[in-house]
Amino acid sequence: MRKIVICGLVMLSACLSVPAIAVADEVERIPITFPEIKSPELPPVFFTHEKHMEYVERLKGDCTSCHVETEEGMSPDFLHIKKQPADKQVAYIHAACTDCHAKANAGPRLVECRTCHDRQVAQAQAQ
Amino acid sequence: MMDFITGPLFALSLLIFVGGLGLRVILYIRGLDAKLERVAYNFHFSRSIPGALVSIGKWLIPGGTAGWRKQPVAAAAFFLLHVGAIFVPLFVLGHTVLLEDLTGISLPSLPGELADVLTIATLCGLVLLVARRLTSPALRQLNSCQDWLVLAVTILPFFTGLMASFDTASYDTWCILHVLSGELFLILAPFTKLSHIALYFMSRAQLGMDYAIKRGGATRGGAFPW
Repeated sequence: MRKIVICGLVMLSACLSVPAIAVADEVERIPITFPEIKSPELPPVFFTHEKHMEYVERLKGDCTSCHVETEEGMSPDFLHIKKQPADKQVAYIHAACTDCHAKANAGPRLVECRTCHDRQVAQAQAQ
Repeated sequence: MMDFITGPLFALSLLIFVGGLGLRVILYIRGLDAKLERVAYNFHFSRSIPGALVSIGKWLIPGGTAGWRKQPVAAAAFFLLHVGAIFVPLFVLGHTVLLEDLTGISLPSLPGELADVLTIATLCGLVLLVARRLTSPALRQLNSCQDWLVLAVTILPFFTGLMASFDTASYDTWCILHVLSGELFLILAPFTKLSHIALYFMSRAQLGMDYAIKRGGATRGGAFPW
């Protein structure tokens, strides 16, 4: 009886670990380039800019929700991230992104690291 | 659902964990009886405090006591489990990011490969403890439901966390299971043997004080003072 249970558990975890076939993401994404991570533990984030633009437009907002308007145009980085001390920049962008997701009740929360730091997406984008 | 289990449910489980263990510590100290145990706890602090610290410290080191040296295989399993079980939940990258977000405290984080190695070591230690429980002649007569429950409740967070870190197709499922099993561990800790997280220090301190005050103890050079 014990052997059957152990075999069953091993098979279950084997099935759940089968990695998804790497499919090129149909959604358009742009890489987040700031802050630059020197030795990344997780794959880089590829951001669904179009999807977020649609959401902001639906709420009658504009680009300044996430960008700072400068003389040269919209800042490429997120809001005031360059003003943060270097060691607080990742925490700043994590908090900003996930707080908005929680308020909108859509999108990944901070607990779901690899939903944004997706290895398959990063590999597909690198090609 | 994620907002609930990582918000109110997490706060509740943390409250039960810290509050429950704190209560266990208070009850332990209140349960000490100087007359029954014939140890004058409130006197001889110059002997009893070093004695308590020595006892706590020696048992934290592999082979630090005769008790560890007498059961080397069990000792190896315990340390294999506990080194990972303590360092991984405190310093793994996912947890440090969440801690910084919630409290502003930024702890250094383990490199990913080291966290994986320590987690696998923890799981090996736990499997060895299961094997020990199934084969040791003494334990086979004493095994109870709680023994198995505590082992299962400890294996789950480490196993689900490891599976989540492997970034499989079922990542979201492993994430939810990991959060839930971690919270189950926190909630059950004060009510089970897992309370040794706090009570280890209490009982080792009590014994260390006892031995140092009235039985020679490590601070007196080991000789019984006839």
